[in-house]
Amino acid sequence: MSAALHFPASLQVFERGWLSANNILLTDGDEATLIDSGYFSHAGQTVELVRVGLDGRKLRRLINTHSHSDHIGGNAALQRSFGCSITIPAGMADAVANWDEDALLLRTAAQKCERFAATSLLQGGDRFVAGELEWQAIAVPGHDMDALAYYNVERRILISGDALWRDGFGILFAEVLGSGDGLGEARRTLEAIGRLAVDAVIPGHGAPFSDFDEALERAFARLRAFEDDGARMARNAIRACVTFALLDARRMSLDELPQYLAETPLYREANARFLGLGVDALADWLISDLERAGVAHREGTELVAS
Amino acid sequence: MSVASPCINICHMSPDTGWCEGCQRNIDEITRWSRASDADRHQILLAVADRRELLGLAPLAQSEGARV
Repeated sequence: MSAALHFPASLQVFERGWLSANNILLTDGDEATLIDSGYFSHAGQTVELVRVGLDGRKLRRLINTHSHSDHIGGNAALQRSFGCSITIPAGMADAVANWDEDALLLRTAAQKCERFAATSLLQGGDRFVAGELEWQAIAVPGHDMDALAYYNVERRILISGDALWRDGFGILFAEVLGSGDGLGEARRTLEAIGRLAVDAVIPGHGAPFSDFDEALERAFARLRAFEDDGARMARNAIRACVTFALLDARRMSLDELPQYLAETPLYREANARFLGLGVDALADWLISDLERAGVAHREGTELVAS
Repeated sequence: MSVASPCINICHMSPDTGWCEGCQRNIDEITRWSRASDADRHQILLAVADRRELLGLAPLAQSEGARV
């Protein structure tokens, strides 16, 4: 794989980490569009990155792939800084308008986000021009039931959000929480995007990549593993969400971890539906699992991000 | 595999140094990372190593950041 994929000069990717999703800046003359805005606590850096990338242009529009806190957390700050409009997938319109912290998974996963108001909506099949390219919105339910991916057929570029990463896809929240057919939707989504001609994927997290077919194979393999073993899916979801929380907070009290796992709906439901562990056993498994993965380590009475 | 980003998810620019408090890249280096050549990325990582030493910080691990 080459160092960097070659995108048109009108398309810049700001590769972020796991707490903040990648940002994609698309320029058209003296105006620009940004896709996804990162996490709330990184909004200051997001604004600075966008300011540098704009190079004097006006940020006219911000578009989200889906409604999770690591993709919409900078929306309010960007709108304040640049006066841009905010376009969201139509399926999340009510949740944003009413700032429904359950539907936005903020309360569900104990995450933070600054409230914003959307100015327009997109749905699957809609088209828009950004970065001198025409993008088609494609419904990609699974990780988020209302998520959209954006596809440019001429350059064969797919902006996949968390529906497809180089190695996997985002947590299937609906399946873990028991609120919807996350596995079935994810399978249909992978099958649908697998029919597209794609030379480059810009995922929500991780570097842009060109090995689309291999990524699809890995995603299908992971999906099969989850279909065969719900406990594996639940453990994966708990591990990923606690890692996310640790990246944000940097440290957590070991004493308070069982209570945190018991009170946060995502962990409570994942455990109750798939694992059936006592909360102390769940905490013990989690700590040793995160230590083994090199994600966190114990320091005195705290679990600290490594 | 190309050179991995040094981001460790502490994404704040230090007003004192102008470097990210997590990975010690400046804003231009973070902005251009995804279109930088491997040679350019190595140059950025060398600069990061120097800056971390100057700040008395341990070197960043050479692995990819934490995977969620």
